[in-house]
Amino acid sequence: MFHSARITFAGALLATAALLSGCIEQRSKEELKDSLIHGFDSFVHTFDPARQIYAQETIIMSVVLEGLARWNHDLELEPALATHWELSDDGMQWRFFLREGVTFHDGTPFNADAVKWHFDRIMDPATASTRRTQLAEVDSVEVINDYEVMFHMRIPNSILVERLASAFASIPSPAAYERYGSAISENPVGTGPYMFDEWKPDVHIRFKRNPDHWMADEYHLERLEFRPIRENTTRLILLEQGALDMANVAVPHVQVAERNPSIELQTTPALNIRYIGFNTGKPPFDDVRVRRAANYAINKEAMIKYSFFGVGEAATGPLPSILADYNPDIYEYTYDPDRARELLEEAGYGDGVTVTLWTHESGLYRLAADAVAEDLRRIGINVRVQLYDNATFTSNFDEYVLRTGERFPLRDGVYDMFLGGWVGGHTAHGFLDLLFHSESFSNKTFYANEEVDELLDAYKELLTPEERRVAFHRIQEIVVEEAPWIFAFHGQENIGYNSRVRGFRIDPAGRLFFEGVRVVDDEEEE
Amino acid sequence: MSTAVLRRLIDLIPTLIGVTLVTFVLMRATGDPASLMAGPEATEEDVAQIRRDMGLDRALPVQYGVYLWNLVRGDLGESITTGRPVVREVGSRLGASIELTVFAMTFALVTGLIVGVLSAVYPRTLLDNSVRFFVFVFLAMPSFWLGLELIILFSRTIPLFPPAGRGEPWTPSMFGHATLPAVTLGVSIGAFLCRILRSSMLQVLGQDYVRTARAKGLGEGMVIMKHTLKNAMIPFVTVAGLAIGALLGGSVIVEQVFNWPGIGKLLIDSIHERNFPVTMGCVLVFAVVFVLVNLAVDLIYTLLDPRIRLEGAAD
Repeated sequence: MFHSARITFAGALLATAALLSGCIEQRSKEELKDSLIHGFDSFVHTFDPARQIYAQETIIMSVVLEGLARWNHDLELEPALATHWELSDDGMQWRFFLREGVTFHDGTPFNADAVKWHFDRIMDPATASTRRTQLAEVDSVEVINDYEVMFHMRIPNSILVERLASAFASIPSPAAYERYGSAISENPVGTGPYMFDEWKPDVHIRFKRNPDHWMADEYHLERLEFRPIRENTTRLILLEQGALDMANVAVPHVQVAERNPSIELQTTPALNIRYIGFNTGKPPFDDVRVRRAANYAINKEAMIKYSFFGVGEAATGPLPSILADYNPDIYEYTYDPDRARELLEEAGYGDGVTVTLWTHESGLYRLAADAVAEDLRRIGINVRVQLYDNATFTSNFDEYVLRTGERFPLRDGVYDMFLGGWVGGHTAHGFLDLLFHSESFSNKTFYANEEVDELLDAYKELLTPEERRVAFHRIQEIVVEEAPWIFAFHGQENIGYNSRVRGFRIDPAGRLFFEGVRVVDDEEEE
Repeated sequence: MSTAVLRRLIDLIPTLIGVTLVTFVLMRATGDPASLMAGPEATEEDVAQIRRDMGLDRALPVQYGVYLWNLVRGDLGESITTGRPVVREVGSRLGASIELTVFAMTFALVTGLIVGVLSAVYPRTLLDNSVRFFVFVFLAMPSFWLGLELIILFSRTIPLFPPAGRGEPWTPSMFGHATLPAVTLGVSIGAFLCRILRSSMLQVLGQDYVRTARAKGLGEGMVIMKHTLKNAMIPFVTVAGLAIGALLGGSVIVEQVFNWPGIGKLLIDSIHERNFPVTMGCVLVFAVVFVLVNLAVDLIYTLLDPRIRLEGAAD
């Protein structure tokens, strides 16, 4: 009897194993055909362009919603829902000529009224749009006729179209808003190449192809699915197994993915900067010599290699070198601890000095903070690293840098240094304006330079890109010279995908373009 | 009996008020989400507007009072980030969390029971010694680490189970998806239960009445199952009940590792974003479940041991 019980047990075990082994996700042929699943690592809460917070939201939004203009892979502006645009000679009027014959996914026509409605809604304080200030210089939006819209500015502004290429300026259907109200945030209706299908929070977001899109011929995938998978290892394994076709590859996994023959990996320098900001209003970093000393003391290459798994590019100044307005002639602080010690001595800190460095908990930032502390210790700056969770880290600055413009660089408990990161987007002003203007809330270094402020106040009135470039080059020069930061490095976008996916091209802004992307099934391949 | 249950349910109220108060104070002590929501470009007025909209500009006791008043009326507020009612946010994840907890608990109970009994019936054998060794190993293992190891072993190296997500309910994929997270979550509790059951079984096995049962010629199976196990179950049930609390706590980490769309994951995400209403909602659900489970455990005692009565029971 005991014997037979054992056999039964073994049988049951085998049966269970057989049953369960059938459970690994196998996508059926039907599911695989013309469909692509992308795994990403961030939050998605809303598809309302007026309320968007996270970068990932804008990435997914861009398959459903479109704006008047858009940035292409090569960081150039190109027409989208507007075919072309004109700026008046005084910089006070922007006229947009809209694409005709475009309809929203709900069948209502896209026209000048829809454009006006959307921007009026963002500018209305009652909407509490997170992007209202982007339109601060817009006085009103006027409908000229069905397919022409005029933006009237309060002050000359030559960069409006660059802002209108951002996600917040993607235009949803006014009729859908009337129907859903604030629930538009989970029922996006736009003009984009894909139509919203289903959203299960924390599980997936699904889209199906819009056969009536004005560029429908370029879009071959019938179904798109986005899955939020925050755990990096899990996401990578799903990609390896083919449960995902495409995924964001986390920094620690870039090298693993590169070595994996079943994954294709595309990388590109990203439109961001990681930096170490100084409190320039308080000793010792109120002295430019100390700030420069710190810049010479940091071994950026080693920091990228050991703290960021070799993923990234050492920065010379505040702008990524792929931006058109990057100044290639700015001074470069190379790793030179001896020079650093000399400068420190000169500034009167030859006997050493102790400072605090604020950082947040993300594993990689922590490693970077340790690397910075170690490099600075070698030249005589002792760093006490203070670690916070992300939200606390962000809100801790509120006591010292107020949105009203008040600054308290000497208040009790203030930082001497902090680890900063910034995603600046496609334009030089996306970095410089907010980070170095003395009155900007995002400038946490208390850095103030009259010439920089003047240039930043005036660039919007410069009508040609060439004139603006001169201003941006000058700002970079000054900022690098005065070193309110250690210009550490620029990150990298990393997208992995499997061999089914063809024709994908990675984007420096991290967006996903599905134009020309196809999936092939294995048989086709053979 | 029903009066006793009712009384226990009424006792729930102060517990929940305490839980909301502590959570509320802890969350507010570390700043508010208005600045985070407004983004870097917003002006002071924008942030003030957001604070007003969310009622964050009022005095803390007032905010808490409003929260409680709404809570009494079944309104848990709206998620700050999505604008959806918290009831809906939490509700849509409740199923996934219950599913994971049930699977993990089943795994823990079954392994704890079988291994615990075997270990007690064959004490100080190779089997018992290796069981005791593994019990310590599993108790000491942090669940996020075990989770990742299991994923690498049983999903990557030997592709048996999917590493993430939840399967369609009532399909084989449901069991496949639940296996690794349930094992991760349940293994330490299973190990603990096994230890508890082993020692209480050994104690009972040494009792006179067991010797009597054997002496009167009962089969060993009968002695173990009927006379020993049932009497050794009380500590087992107590620990199993308390373990539900540990499971809820553990699920917060395990759901993150396995991308399980449950309340634990929602809780972590909401804390990261300072999404007060959602955090409060998740904590409330955890608290209610915890208290109800404890009540259920007490009820089970009375079934296992008729000598035990709930306080205040009429009979």
